Amino acid sequence: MAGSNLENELDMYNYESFSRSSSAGKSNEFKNSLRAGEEAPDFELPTLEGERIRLSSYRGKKHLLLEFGSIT
Amino acid sequence: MEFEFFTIYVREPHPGENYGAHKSWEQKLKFARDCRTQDGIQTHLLVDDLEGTVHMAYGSLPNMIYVIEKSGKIVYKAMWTDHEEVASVLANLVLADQLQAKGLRVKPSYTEKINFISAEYAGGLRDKVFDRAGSKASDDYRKVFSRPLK
Repeated sequence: MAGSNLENELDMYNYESFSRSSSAGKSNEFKNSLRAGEEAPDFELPTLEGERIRLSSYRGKKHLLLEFGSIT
Repeated sequence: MEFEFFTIYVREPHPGENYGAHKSWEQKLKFARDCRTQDGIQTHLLVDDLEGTVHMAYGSLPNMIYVIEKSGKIVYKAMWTDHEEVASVLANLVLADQLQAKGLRVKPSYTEKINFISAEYAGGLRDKVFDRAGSKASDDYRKVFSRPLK
């Protein structure tokens, strides 16, 4: 069932409890994914005000800093 | 202004009674608003989708940081944010721009390093996080690391 698979994937990403498996392997995944010198993957995300920001719209214009975060 | 700063709000790494796992887009937006207010975030705050598409594309750690130069290339990435180090990376980009504006050539010097940062979370950050999340978050953390919280 496509619907339940999607729910499972969502539950895996948005896990309910921090555990060893929540962080296991993540450091290597990070190290081995994008490298300095590579193009940053493009994306479009909304601000809290509903404006949509596309990363590539800054190309040739500004340097960018992306920090990832959460409340907990 | 040569730079644009973004904070990307992603999943909750230490879910608890007060701030649990995201269940809906509306809830994620609400938590993101609370995050902006409680942390006094002044950058653009972008909210990743419920599936964490952007978060996963960039490595899925909770407090990663990337600096991307004008051409769209990554010039710096770190697992955890260290503001002093990031400031030096930005200063280097300013310097490169200034040299190029004078008609001088710059060349990339590929660098790898391991930066040591305190794991004790200066300023009571860990306590702040668990106070916000609720006691379940600190209980879960303790189970994994089996050591008392400072």
